Parts: sequence; C-alpha cells; structure tokens
Amino acid sequence: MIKIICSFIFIVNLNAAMITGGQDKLSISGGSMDVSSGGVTQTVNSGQITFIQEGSAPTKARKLKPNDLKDITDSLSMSNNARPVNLKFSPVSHKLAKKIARFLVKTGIKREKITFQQVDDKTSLYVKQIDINSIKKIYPIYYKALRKYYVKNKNHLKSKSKTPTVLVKVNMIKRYHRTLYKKYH
Amino acid sequence: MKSLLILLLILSNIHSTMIGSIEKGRIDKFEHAYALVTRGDEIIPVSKLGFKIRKNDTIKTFRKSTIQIRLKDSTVIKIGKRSTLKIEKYLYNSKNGANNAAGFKIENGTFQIKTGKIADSAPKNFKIKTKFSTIGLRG
Repeated sequence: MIKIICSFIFIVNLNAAMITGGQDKLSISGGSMDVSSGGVTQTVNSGQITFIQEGSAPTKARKLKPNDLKDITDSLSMSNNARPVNLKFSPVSHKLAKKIARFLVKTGIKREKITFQQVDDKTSLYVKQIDINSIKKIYPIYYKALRKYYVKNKNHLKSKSKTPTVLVKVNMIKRYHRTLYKKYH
Repeated sequence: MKSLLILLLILSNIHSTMIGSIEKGRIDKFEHAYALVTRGDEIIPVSKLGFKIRKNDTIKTFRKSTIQIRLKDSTVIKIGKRSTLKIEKYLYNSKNGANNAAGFKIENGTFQIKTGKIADSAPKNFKIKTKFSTIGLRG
C-alpha cells in the first residue's frame, strides 16, 4: 500500500513543471515550453535555458550550467537577510593570491569585493562583505563555523556589530587550493 | 430594483473571489511589508502571511522582499525582489478541466512557477508573459 502511495506521489511530482527566469532568461525543469519573442518561437526542454533580448528572437536553448540561474535563485531566496563575512588570507606569493582571486570570481564572488595588499614580498588577499552562503561550496569548514556564529548571535544584523572576519591560514589555502599552492607557492 | 441589486452583488462576488494566498515570504524590514497589492483603485500593503489573492491583482515586491503564492490549483508562484506579477486570467474548475486557464504577467524582476492542476488539465491555456516574451507550456 505504501509503495502504491509513494509511486503515486512520484507520478504527481513528475507532472509538475518548474519555470524559472527573469526578463532576460528562462529555464524549465520537468517539462518543456515554447518561448516567443520578436516573432520567433523557441522550444526549451527540461534542464535547458534560453536568453531573451528586447525585440529579438530567443537564443537557441542550451543545457543549463551551474551558475546560469544564480542571480535569480538569490533574488528568490526566502532566507532572512544575508549574513555577511569578510575573508582575510594569510600572505602568499603574488601569483598564488591572483590565482585564488580568479578562482573566487569563478565561484560567483564579485571581483570588486576582492582586494590585494602587499606585505613585504608577499601578497595578502581580502574579500569584503560576502554572504556566508557564497562560501558554502568553497570553504565548507568556515561555513559551518559561521552558521554557528550567526545562530548564537541572532541579533547581529539588527545591532551595529562588526562583520566577522575569517582568517584563511596558509594550511587552509594548502588544503582547499592544493594544486594552485603546489604550482605557485 | 431588488433583483438588480442582488445580481450586482453576485457579479461582484464572482469577480472578487479569492484564488490563492501568500503562504511564505521574506519581509522588507524597511517597508515593514512583504508586498504591495494593487486591486482596482486600491493599494494594499501586505504585512501578514495568508493574504488572499484575487483575480486581476497586481503584486509588487520591495527591494528586499520575496513572496510565495499558492493558488487553488496548487500552482506555486515565487516572485523575487523588485518584481511585479499581474494575475491576468485564472479559471479553475476541479471537476471539469477543459475550460481551465491561467495567465500571468511578470512585468518586472524574477520568478519561479511550479505548475499545478491547470497546467495538467489544459497546458495550452497556461500562459506566462514577461516584458519581452511569452511562454506557453507544451502539452
């Protein structure tokens, strides 16, 4: 009986399509849709995305990439206001700092939030005011600690307390950027 | 005269029946509300969850608010920050799905729509418009 109910729920869920998008891009999962713009209709299947510009035809649908809908999912997020954090990296060689910065940009951190500071012949990297969710995939160890911090300090956002700064030590750089560290340090 | 009044009352009731409600959301702390609903000439700030949505309502979120609306047919609409949704068409009959139809216009911003029973029973009558495009489900 339970099996029948479970399979029924599964079938019901399969029928639902999820359309996600904004004014410039549209994606669908669990179905297919026709997107019309500028007099042209484009079919978009499950797991695909199309881009739209005013007055022109939608682009050919292509497979969805991990960061394609990041801005939209961020905008739709129901979780309470962003919990900010600063990252300060221990000084490393300038090349390594640059490579780490490039890696961070690739993961979705905005370039303007990253700054470099020269310390003797080494360079220190600073990342200012990023949401702790954006470091979830990069440095899970810090994410866990920061979650705990924000659970303890529920009123942090209401009060004028300082944004916490996490020091990313050399051993952590070595751990999370092993190949870059070997090559450029 | 009496019958005319009753007819008008019935008509206004049909026009204003609720079609769903705001079930989740993130409040804008500056505005102290989830969204603004434009209903005819009236502008209603939504400060509590459970607010009933009607056909032809225009729902506008603030700079930092998002909402999730569940409609009668289990269609779930999420609209993001600074977004505007207009419910242009909504016809749902659970017993006879042939005439079911839904039309949403996302005038601004971002959205996520999980289709419900209207899309199951009449996918061709399920339409979404954005500023530059029209979306139709394939059956």
